[in-house]
Amino acid sequence: MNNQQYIDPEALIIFIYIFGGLMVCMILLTFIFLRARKKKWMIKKQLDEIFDNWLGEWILEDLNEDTQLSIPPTLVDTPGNAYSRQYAVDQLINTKKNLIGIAGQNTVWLYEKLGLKKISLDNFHSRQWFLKAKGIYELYMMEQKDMQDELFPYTNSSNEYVRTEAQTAILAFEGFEGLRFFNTLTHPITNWQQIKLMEQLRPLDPPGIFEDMPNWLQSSNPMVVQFALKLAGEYQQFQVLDCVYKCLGSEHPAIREQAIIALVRMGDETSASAIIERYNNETKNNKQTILRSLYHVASTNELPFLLEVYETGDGDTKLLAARAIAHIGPAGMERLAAKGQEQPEPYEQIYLHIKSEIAR
Amino acid sequence: MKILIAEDDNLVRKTIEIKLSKDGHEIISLAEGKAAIENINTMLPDMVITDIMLPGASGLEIVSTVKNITSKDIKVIVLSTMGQENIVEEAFKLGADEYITKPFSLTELSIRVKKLMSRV
Repeated sequence: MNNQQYIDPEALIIFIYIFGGLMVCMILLTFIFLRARKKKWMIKKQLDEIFDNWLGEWILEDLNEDTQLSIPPTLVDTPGNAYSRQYAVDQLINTKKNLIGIAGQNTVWLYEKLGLKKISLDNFHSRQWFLKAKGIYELYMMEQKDMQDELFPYTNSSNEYVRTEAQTAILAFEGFEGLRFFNTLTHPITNWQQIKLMEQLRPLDPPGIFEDMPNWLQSSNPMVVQFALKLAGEYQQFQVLDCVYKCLGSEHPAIREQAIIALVRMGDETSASAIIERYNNETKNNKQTILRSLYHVASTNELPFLLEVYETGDGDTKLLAARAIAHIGPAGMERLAAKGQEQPEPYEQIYLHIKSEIAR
Repeated sequence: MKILIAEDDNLVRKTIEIKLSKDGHEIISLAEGKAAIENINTMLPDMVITDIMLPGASGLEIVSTVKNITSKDIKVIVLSTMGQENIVEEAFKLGADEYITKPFSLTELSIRVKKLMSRV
């Protein structure tokens, strides 16, 4: 008897049918997908052409209330035109990012005349965070200042992307006044966002005194304190010097580091001794920040401390201390040279290295 | 004057084209670096306005191509964005005559074009 088992021919036929069916489905789906993609590409290409020509016609014109705008059918506000109208918003924003002057102003005028704010509002009111963030971006890029009260609560949104766009928007609308969102901010501000906000403020005229700064420096949100310290250092807010000193004793290393930097930037005569006092209790990173800061403010008074660190620290620390010592002047260089002669390994190498850095 | 514009952003390219056409210049505008280089070699424009970042060949390659042409003094304006200072410096080393940072005003570009053209 042959005990070998064979596949049931009927089952094999069913399997072939199912497999064949699946193959056909896959081919069909691929075809539909490629067709849809091609159609989208064609629409985009057509839109490119229509919109570029249309916008090119209007962007340099002297546009005012009397201007009779001829709107292409694809940009008219109808439900079927949602894609092309979103495309128009994107293109206007892109143009505004690249051009200023009349062309830049005209992008806002065209955005309003085409009723494109509706697209941005739909995005802004969406429940999906990426559309909400996009909506906020569109509204501030197109200078829709009337939206600032509605956008403000989102400066403390739990979603990082929505929050950062809203913060950027409020600063774009209100300038330094917009920093009021720090009074209510409970969520973190990433370092990248802090850099972006500082850059956004840079071209603007700062107020002499930041009224709310004492509150920010005592905020329960460590990142608000950190950012306030950056502002205090950058804009020389001497009225909060006491608060900055207090921040040297914060439990957060990042706040202490920023306080060190702020104190040095504010250039108080006691700042060098204050940060030296902190040195032994600091983290390695903050110790290095102290040495980098002393490079800018150290005088012969700080020489004994720097020489001690130079002798006892590890390789990186020795180098940072040597730079600060050399920057004090001839007295510092003499001490480095003397130490190099006294103990050539490693001090002579460091001395020569510092000399070559100065020569560069 | 014949001006070649190499800029991959359609709208920016189009608006520059319109503005400079209104100023009375003959414009050739291209979105791709390699095509721009080919056209520079065959058409020998009086001026090239090029973006730093382009598909195909970079703005620096375009500057280098232009300045290697000895039969004609072709002026070059480089369009850059904030943070591209090092590349702009490189472009000047290669011989670029002017640069303008985005966002820029078309009026400002038009003035710079006139100023450079007066030196030709």
